[in-house]
Amino acid sequence: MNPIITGVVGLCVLLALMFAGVPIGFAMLLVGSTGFMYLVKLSGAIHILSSVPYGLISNYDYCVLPLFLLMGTIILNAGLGGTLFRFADTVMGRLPGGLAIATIFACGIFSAISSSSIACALTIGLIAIPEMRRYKYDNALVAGSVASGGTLAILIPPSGILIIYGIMTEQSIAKLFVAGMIPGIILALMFIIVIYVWVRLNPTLAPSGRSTTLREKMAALGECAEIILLCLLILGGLTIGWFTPTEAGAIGAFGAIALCLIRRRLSWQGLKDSVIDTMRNTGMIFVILTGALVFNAFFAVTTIPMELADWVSGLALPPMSIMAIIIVIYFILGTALDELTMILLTLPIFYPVVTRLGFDPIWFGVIIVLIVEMAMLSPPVGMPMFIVKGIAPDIPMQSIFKGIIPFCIAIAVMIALLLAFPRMALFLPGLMG
Amino acid sequence: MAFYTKVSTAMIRVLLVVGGIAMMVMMAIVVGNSLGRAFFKRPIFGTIEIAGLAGVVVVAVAVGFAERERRNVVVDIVANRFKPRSRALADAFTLFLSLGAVAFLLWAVFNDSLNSLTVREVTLTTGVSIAPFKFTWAIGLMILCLFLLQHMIEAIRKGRKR
Repeated sequence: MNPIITGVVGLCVLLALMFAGVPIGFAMLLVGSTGFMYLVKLSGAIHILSSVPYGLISNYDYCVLPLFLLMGTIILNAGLGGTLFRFADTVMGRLPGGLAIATIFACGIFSAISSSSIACALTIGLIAIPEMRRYKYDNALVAGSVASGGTLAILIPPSGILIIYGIMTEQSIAKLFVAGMIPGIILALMFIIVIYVWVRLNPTLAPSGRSTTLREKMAALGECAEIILLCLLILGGLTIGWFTPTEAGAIGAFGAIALCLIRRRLSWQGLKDSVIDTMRNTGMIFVILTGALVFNAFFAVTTIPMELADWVSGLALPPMSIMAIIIVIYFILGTALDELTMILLTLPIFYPVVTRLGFDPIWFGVIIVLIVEMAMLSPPVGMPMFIVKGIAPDIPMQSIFKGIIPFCIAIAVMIALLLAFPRMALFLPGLMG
Repeated sequence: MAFYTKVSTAMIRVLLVVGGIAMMVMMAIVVGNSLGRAFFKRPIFGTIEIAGLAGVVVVAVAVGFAERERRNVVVDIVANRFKPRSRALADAFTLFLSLGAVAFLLWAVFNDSLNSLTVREVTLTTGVSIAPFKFTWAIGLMILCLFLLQHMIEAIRKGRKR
């Protein structure tokens, strides 16, 4: 078999194994190593297996992942989501749909300290959902605001998906983080506008909230000022170049532990639970990354990525049309695969095409994250929706689906804006040099 | 099986302590290096290498633990439609394939660790021996294999019972 046919067969076998229920990381490892062995030789496969995964786990730059996971779980276990939500409520609560807007606002701030959309939706949802339901908010609005707010965590840095994209494509994680900032903030504002307009058009969805005094606002700010300062330190430090992403992760985790201990929000058991949660998620992610890197090595020797890139760049289609096709493919895949699987499976195929067509890899990373956000809000694998269902089991799935539609449209508009104005993502990384 | 589960649980507890300590070391050294560089113009020598080696310990422990907690990502939209008995047997088969893939990786890593020990491979800046960390990675993979084996046996038993 020639390398290209071997690659196609390998890809088919991988899909078959995945859908048969083999964990994605192990399926990639199995197909990648046997495929490499077939195309090169046994010694080549052994070399790849011994060097690539060890190179990944011993790389200083990739320590960023467990460190940011640790920071997020500490904040989660310390219950600081509640203080963030109360602050957001005092600032935004009096607007139409104020509690839902406060949910997005709190998710936006929480996203700057957490790399996980699940942690974000869970932390804020646990406080926001009962509160919104107490004030008789419509179920669709409740579900839509929490589920979509949670997805902001994968766009606003630190983003787990952007770290994984950076590892897979060897792009600067710092630049990817910084590139996600402006689109993340704009998307959060768009979510707020969606809620505002939705409630204006149908005031029965949510009652008007009460206004708060300046003293109440300041008191609520005082409760979470350190967390906001920690966010600003991390985001500012990354943008200005004070520290690398790994240093930002370490400072963030250390700062979170110190703040929670000073505030007496973190017990010894809480710290232990945070470390254990971090270990669990680190293991899960690194198993997939190990498999994906071995599979990438196999896929590279099949020459499929290069041949495909040559073929696509030779087509008489404008690059933007090809990008639109890629986005549609991602969207379809997103309804069947979870975000990590989708990215790791497709990057070896699409990334060379995208770079060959002249698109900026950093910009493409942000586009991918936005598509993933949309996929996370679509059945059957949209985790944030199941988190809403888990917190409030009596909200019908139909209401949850209805609630996320306006937010999906907002994400689609954001993708269109980024396609039209790539500088929205590339402006800040451009300043970094 | 109960004894095997007991031993593996005790083992993972000890390893979690080791992994937790490695994570704290990683965090502390990176923070210390950043503060030392920013305020005293004295970064900690070898931070990049030491944090990377601590990362090896963290991941080596984490991969086994993730499997013990059954946290590895599975696309189960097809498997969920199986009847319980078929599902258990399919799980046993997929776990067998997973075990094969990880065993092959373990073999390659173990050979590389032995080679690293023979040639006395060290890190470039600090001169720390790399072999113990490669062996740690191999041990982590071995524990992952043990949990995969445990889950496979459990799946076979479940399939037989039904």
